[in-house]
Amino acid sequence: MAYWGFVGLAVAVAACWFFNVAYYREAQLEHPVFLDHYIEAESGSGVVFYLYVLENRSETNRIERIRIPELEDAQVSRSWNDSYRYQDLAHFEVFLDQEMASELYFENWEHAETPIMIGQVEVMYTDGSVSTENIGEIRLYPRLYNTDKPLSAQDKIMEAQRGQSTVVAQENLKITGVDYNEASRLGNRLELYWGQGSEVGEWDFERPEEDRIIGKPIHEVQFPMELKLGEDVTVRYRFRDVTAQDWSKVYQLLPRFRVETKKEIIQARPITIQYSPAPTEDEVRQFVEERRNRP
Amino acid sequence: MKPAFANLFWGLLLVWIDIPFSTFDVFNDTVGYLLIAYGMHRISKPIPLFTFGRWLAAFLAILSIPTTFSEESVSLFDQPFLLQGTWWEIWMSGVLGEFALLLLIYTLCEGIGRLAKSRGENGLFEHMRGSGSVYLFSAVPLMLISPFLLNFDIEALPVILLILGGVSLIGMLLILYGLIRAGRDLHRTTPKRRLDIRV
Repeated sequence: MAYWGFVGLAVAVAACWFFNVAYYREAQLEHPVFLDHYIEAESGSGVVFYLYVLENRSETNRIERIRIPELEDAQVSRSWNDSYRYQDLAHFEVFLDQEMASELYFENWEHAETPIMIGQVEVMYTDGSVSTENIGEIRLYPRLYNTDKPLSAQDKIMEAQRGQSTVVAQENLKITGVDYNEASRLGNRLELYWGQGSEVGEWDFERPEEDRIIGKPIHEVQFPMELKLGEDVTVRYRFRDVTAQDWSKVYQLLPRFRVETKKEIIQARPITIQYSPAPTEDEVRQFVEERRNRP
Repeated sequence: MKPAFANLFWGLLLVWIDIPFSTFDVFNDTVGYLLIAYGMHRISKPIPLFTFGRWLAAFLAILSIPTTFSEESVSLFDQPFLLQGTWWEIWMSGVLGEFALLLLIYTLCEGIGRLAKSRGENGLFEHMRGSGSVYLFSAVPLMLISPFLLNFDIEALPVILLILGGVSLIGMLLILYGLIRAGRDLHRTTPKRRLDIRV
């Protein structure tokens, strides 16, 4: 009796371990994975943006340093990690100080459309190995104007996937339009709202999201719109993840305001719209499974 | 016979207690298993079950050598080992080792219990059977549940494991006390001689 009891126990224990070890291994990445970034940033004002990397928590060979060849002097440092069961989502802060930013060389400074494009970074690991990783796309634009800002952003509120900025006119001006063409790649993930005065209620976190007064969708706004000195408009945004993979595509956008002042017609990027990934445990697991199944 | 039970007692204590000093366990498991094997060998005549038990202890001594002399941990809950270890290493160092230890403790309790019964020491027989059962009935669920800690957050699991761990601790203390008692009671005399004295 005892003999068969031990045989049964041996089989049961082996089965429990086999299942759990296999399940555990299946949830591990083969190497750290950079999320797919699309980041727009404007040089000249101490640029800060984040690169996101998913890496195994049990990984002994971790990322020690990230180097961006096109931005040799950029300071890249690990800011913090969001921890999941098997992985850490590491946030690496990329910072260009004033001095460094001013030294950036833009080939077509006069043609402000041409940014510095960055698609890969060099990654150094704790074991001394180095690899080149695709990160998506970083577009570093030159500043669009070098005089005083006609529009300045105030009262910024940013959460992981929504936020708002109030833009104040620093002189009498006319906004003739807002371009955010690059946001088209987001499909219907991004919602932008525009409001003035009573169109915009308080940013009330306690109220249900649907009850908040958030302004009107930006495509319904009539341009041109005149703003006198000191008048403001509020731009609110919200990302909605449609599929389980959306969280792995990280965005930072700079909508372009076309502005007419008395002196000139300029373009300005006073507000930042950014998406910080905050996946669920299941979404991370699904992402890892997909990566492992890739040929 | 008393020295043999002393071997078993100290052997089991060495195996049971882990005091790591740097990467070396002061209470060395390999030495512990060898002591148990030696102790079982010494009393394998009156306890035939120990003929099997001594080989089991020797096998465990061999299995424990890597953990004694290697700086790398081979614990089943050590994540690099789980990731990089081969299935063979995992079975040998982890699953098989845990299971063989359970079998060894069963052999130890059962063997001493049978000898005690044959010598008319019913108190010791009941004690060894009881403490063996306490240990087994707490250690077996522990062995079955603990792999799931790797992957699942079950709210009650830490409490269950704490309770089972506590019961298993009591079981092991009872077994150690049983070994002291066996060295004392089974050493004294055989039932036949006791009968002779009475006559």
